[in-house]
Amino acid sequence: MPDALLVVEKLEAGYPGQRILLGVDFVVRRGEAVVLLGANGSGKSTALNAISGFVRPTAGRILLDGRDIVGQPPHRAFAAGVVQVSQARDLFPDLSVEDNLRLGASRRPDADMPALLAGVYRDFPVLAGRRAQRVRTMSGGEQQMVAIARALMGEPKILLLDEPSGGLAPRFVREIAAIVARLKAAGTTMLIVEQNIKLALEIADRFLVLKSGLVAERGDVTRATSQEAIVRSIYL
Amino acid sequence: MTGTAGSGTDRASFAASGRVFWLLPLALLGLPLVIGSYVQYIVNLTLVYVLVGVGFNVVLGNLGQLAFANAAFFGIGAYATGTLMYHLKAPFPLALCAGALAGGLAGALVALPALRGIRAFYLAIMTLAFGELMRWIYINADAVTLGSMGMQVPRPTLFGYVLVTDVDKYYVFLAVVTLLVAATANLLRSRVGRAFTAIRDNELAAASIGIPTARYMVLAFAWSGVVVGTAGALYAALVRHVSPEAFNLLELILHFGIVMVGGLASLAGSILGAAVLTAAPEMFRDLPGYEELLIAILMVAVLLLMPKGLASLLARASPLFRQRYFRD
Repeated sequence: MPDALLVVEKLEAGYPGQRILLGVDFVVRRGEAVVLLGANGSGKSTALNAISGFVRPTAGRILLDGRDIVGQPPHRAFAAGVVQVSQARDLFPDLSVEDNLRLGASRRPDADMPALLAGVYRDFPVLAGRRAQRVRTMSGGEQQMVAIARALMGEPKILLLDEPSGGLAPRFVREIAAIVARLKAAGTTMLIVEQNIKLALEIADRFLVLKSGLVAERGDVTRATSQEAIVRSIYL
Repeated sequence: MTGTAGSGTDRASFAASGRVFWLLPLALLGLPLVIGSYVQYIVNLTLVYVLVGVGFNVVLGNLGQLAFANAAFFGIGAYATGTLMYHLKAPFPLALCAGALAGGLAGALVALPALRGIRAFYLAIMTLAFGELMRWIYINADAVTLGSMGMQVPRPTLFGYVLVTDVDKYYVFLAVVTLLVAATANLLRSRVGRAFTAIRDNELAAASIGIPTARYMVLAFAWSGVVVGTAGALYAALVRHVSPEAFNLLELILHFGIVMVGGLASLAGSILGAAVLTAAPEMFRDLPGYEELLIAILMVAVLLLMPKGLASLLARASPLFRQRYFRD
């Protein structure tokens, strides 16, 4: 596939004594947003963690821009261009918004910090007014914005978002959906895990359903069968 | 983690606080003129323990990793220096560098399990085992260490000049300590130091922004080993007798005391902690039987009244100091 950015082939991964992914195959093309759906424990987060290096796969290949990054530790995956926003957001709560953002680019020696910060503040105007605020004192939705903004400071080739709407108030869910839509419009390639199916189908180009460690269904969101059919394929 | 210096005014005051650092060793140059020989010895010992505290604080305070190998690094530095001077008649500067290097290598070795994902209490227990293993080696490798009797270290010499008095040693110690404290301060302010702090604050977050966390852990332990190993080398030159009981668990408790009383992740705290805990036993020496009790009360009082250590007193007094040398 010529425009494929991320190619996952026969990926197997899990935890000691527990195999989660049993041979997952999928492709994410440059500039598209793909959403991973599935019931709890189906391996969605494990797939993201295997790509970002937090979980070591036992078999399979992960090609980013044609380069195999399977089994690379997180800092090498980051250097290759994979940046993940985890469910826990993994921020530095006692640092200010701006310090968190700067840290996002700290491993990019050639990064143009002022330009990156200006770009992020343009995309996240809420953060521009709160650059000196300690992250600990922000709401969950605002922290999620900081986490996504920090990931963008790392200039990712592909952005992995693990449940970006998880635990957020409806107002912030809408806000996160708008942010993801803006990122998509700007050409950011994204692989998203999302439990909120309505939101997932709103923000993604394509969907994959993981079931029993394999991709059970995949499709184009615009041509998708009904939301109800997807829910059936996840749970039944 | 220290914030980023933003405005020009911030930068200027930050640079000014750096210049303040150099005033202390300059002021200390005249100290031998006003103190007697016994106090001079205590001051020299304090300088040794300043390095012990500064080195230990890198791992304990800045990296946030509980570790028990500090007394081992101290002993390795002392034994490496003592062995070279005793067996090979090596000059002191060479033996000092060997002590620092041996401490650094030991630090890296102790932290190697971190590369395999060993962390927190598991790594701490491994460092404890390493410390006890080293004590076993000091006692049983008698061909080199002269066993439990220990070894008499020859008088240190510096470029042919024999350091006979404690005043002679003082100036050498002051120069070495100033150099290493300044180097550690610079390291902690650099990208490397910020990586240590990021790992301490949230290791997963650090990894997710591309920091090779295990490698930085090894580096922190190695630098800690260099600093504490140098302290061991100075100790060997000062006391001139190196034996296994000088590096036991009680010694380790003293090292913890220095860091905790001074203040975690505070360089100035390490200096204050070393000064207080080296001077206190001497102050209470005239009260036999109560000495340990009084020191324990002093430690508990400091930790109860100043949970962030003695450094918090200075931080309260001076914003300049707070910005550069203190962690909220």
